[in-house]
Amino acid sequence: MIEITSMSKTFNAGTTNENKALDDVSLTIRENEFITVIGGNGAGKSTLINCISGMYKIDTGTIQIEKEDVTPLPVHKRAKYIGMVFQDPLKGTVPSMTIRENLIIAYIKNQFHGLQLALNKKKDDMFREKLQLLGLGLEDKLNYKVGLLSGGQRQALSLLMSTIHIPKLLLLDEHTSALDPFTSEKVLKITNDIVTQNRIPTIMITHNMEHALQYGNRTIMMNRGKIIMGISDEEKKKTSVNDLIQKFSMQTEENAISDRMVL
Amino acid sequence: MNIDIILGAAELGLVYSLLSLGLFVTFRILNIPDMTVDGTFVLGAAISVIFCIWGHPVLALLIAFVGGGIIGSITAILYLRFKITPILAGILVMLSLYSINLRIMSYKPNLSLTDEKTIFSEIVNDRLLILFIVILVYTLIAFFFKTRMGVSLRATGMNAAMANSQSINANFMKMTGFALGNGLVALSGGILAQQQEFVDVNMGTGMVVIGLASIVIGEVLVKAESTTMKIISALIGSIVYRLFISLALQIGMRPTDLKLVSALIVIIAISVSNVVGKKNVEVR
Repeated sequence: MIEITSMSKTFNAGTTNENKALDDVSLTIRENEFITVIGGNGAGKSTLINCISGMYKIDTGTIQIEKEDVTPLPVHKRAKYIGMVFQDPLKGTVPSMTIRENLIIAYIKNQFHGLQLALNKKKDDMFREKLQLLGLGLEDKLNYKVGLLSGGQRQALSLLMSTIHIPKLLLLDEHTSALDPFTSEKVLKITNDIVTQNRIPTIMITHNMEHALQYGNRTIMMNRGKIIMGISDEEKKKTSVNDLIQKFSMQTEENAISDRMVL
Repeated sequence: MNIDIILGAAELGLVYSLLSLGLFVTFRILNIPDMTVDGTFVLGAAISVIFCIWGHPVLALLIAFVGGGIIGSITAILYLRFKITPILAGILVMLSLYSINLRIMSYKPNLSLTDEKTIFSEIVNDRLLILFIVILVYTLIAFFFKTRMGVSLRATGMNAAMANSQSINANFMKMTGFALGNGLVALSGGILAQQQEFVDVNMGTGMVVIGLASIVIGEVLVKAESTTMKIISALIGSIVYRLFISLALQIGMRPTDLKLVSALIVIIAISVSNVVGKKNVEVR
């Protein structure tokens, strides 16, 4: 279980560009919970994920993963618990290294990075097996440089790399938004398979409301650094994209009006 | 060009190949320009000569390597901890090293070894010994890049954010790379000083360019895919570079023109690989 308690993050505090990206956000992610996050630009979705992963230092609040307080830990130490796939397909892999070498890096995660040989033919069978599950034909390409792969293949590989050791929490930052619709569906399906089969607690940001409703068992909506709405599993089945858009515009308009009144 | 000149150039190329290897670690593996090397090269030479005077030629090289490693770490700390851009951090440390090197050399601008023992004193063939050292060091470094730490270092250089998210301490790895790179450069300077039985406080000027020239020449000549081959291409480049320099001297250029020649070689080699050669797209 992951518990986030009153997490806040303000960028450029004390300047005219002050931006309250996260405003007292609390969120509990239970075992087996696959949460999709929606919200407009600048709603704080990516900040939420980057704060959880440790990329950004939070101003206040705590993050607990299975009762351990990870708030003071830097990114590479939190990585022990957290798997992450970035929005940019270039970010999650090393293009100048082969698929095998990339998988090795993921495989030795959390282990001592000492002077023992990293490459080992024995692991190849295991890598091939895992790559086969992606259904992209990558199992025959262990020696390929990752830079030669398509965006979709790279995202699928990133996904495999971040789940080769099952993480306590998986963070997906719009990981399909840079892909074409067809590939995007495919990668999402792979994501869903991996997440549900391994029961990985997951937070997935998406811009696609349909995906938000279709995948996962809870949807939260963010606006101006706050979680403004949560939709449970049962509700999700009854909610349509139109309902969601309506709720979304209603919520944001309310805010706009109240802001105007303040001004 | 007669065979002696070629062999002499190859020998010098071998000594400087450790400099190229050091630069390869920072410039190519970490993807960070490190200007410290002009200073670390002299540091290695100065330490080497002083320890020879004290009667420990082998220990001299070890201390030179360690000394270079410490200096490399200092540059890395300035860059990583205090956020000074790597080029400036390198230049600052290089500048400080000028004074430090003079201190090590007892405030003399140059020192000669006369009767002192060096690693070459009891050896019949200097070239074989140098070849042996170079092969040994290259093998160790090639092995290093196949270890977990070596693979992590390569991943860090190419994609630090990804390395971090895979539980690799990217900053520590960068520091390791700076230390290793500068250690090798200092070792190169240390061997050169014992071979020439001489150290001059200005002998480091332009070492960045020389090392870079060797790496780029190697890249143009050898289209390497694996890290091991890339390392070997730096070795080949270093020897070819020395042959170019000998050739330049043969056709009547003055030794004082050599820095110009070095710079031109780098400019030409990089331009050729970028514009004409359509080098294998260096994907980042």
